[in-house]
Amino acid sequence: MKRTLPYILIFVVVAGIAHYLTLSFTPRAIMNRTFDVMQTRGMKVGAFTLVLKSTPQTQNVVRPSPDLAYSVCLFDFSETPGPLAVKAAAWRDMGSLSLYDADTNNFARYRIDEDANGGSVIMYPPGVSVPDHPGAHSVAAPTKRGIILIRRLAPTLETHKGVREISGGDSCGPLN
Amino acid sequence: MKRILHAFGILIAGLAVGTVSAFWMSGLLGGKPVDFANVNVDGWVSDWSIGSAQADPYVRARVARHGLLALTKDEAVYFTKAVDGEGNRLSENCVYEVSGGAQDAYWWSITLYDGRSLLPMNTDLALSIDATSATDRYGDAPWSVTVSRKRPEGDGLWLSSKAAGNFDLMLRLYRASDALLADPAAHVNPPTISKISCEGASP
Repeated sequence: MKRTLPYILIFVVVAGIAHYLTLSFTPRAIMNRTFDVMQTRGMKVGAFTLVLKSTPQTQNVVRPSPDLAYSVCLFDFSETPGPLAVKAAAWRDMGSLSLYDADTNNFARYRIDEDANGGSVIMYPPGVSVPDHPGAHSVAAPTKRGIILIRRLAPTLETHKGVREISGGDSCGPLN
Repeated sequence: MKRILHAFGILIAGLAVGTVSAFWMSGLLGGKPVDFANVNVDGWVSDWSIGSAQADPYVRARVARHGLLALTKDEAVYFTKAVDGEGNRLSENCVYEVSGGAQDAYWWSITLYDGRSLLPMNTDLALSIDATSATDRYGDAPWSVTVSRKRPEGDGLWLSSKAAGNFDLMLRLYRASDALLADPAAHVNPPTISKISCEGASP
């Protein structure tokens, strides 16, 4: 027993550390892969792209909702170090602007149909002080990379077409 | 030398067990159905911490794999169910009737996903039903939808399970009421899933 005890201890400690590290790094690894896949599918850093209506043939992420229109902007403060001005055009029905960090956390979200400033956000890199901006929400990103999503309720082809018509008013670029 | 080999073997085994168990418990390995855990209303399961920084590491890993870019509960809550009323896995080999009513939320939808958490690869354009389609068809009365891999006769609502294999249904409630978020068991109206028939079996 005395001889085997150290081996059991090594096993338990190593298994515990491996378990913890796997759980900790999996979300970021999946998010990084998603970020890269989105880029290869034409979505851009620093600009919104309206995604085609979700179908089995066009889905980009797991569990897409076919009832929503998604616009995606990737952010990467190592490429564009300054603050980012994000604007979502008004929509006649339910809509939201959601900001995700590299660890999958939805660190900020705003209703663009109910909140007067919900469609306007100034996002700062991690670790900097965030000044107020009249008429817009101000927020600091917890990580350098992440994904910004606009969701708009658009369950039919007609409503999705309506989103396409107004989505030219979405913007995601350096703050002037 | 023998001791070093033993220790090395134990090290590799520990790494393997720790890694595989993490993947398994997060639903990243094998055919484990999505089973978010801390809310359960008649077998429709959810986790109110989805999307938030408060999510535990298992929920976070599971969401990254099965529901990346989910919203937090103030904007949407997600319920999944992978079994019928008798507790059997939902399968494209069977026909089901799903029935329900209004929800205490701004809007709701039910979408069918395959075992990889993707929309099943078919061209039926019958991926989901929602508050709008249910109201258009049934008004304020309770609704029902047929889930099957072939379009049923008649003009009723239909969810296509073609090419889905074993699947689950996801109920999304957008902007659920404060009362529902506080007490889901009392305020969620859980749809029922009844098996009608299966291929090669008596009803």
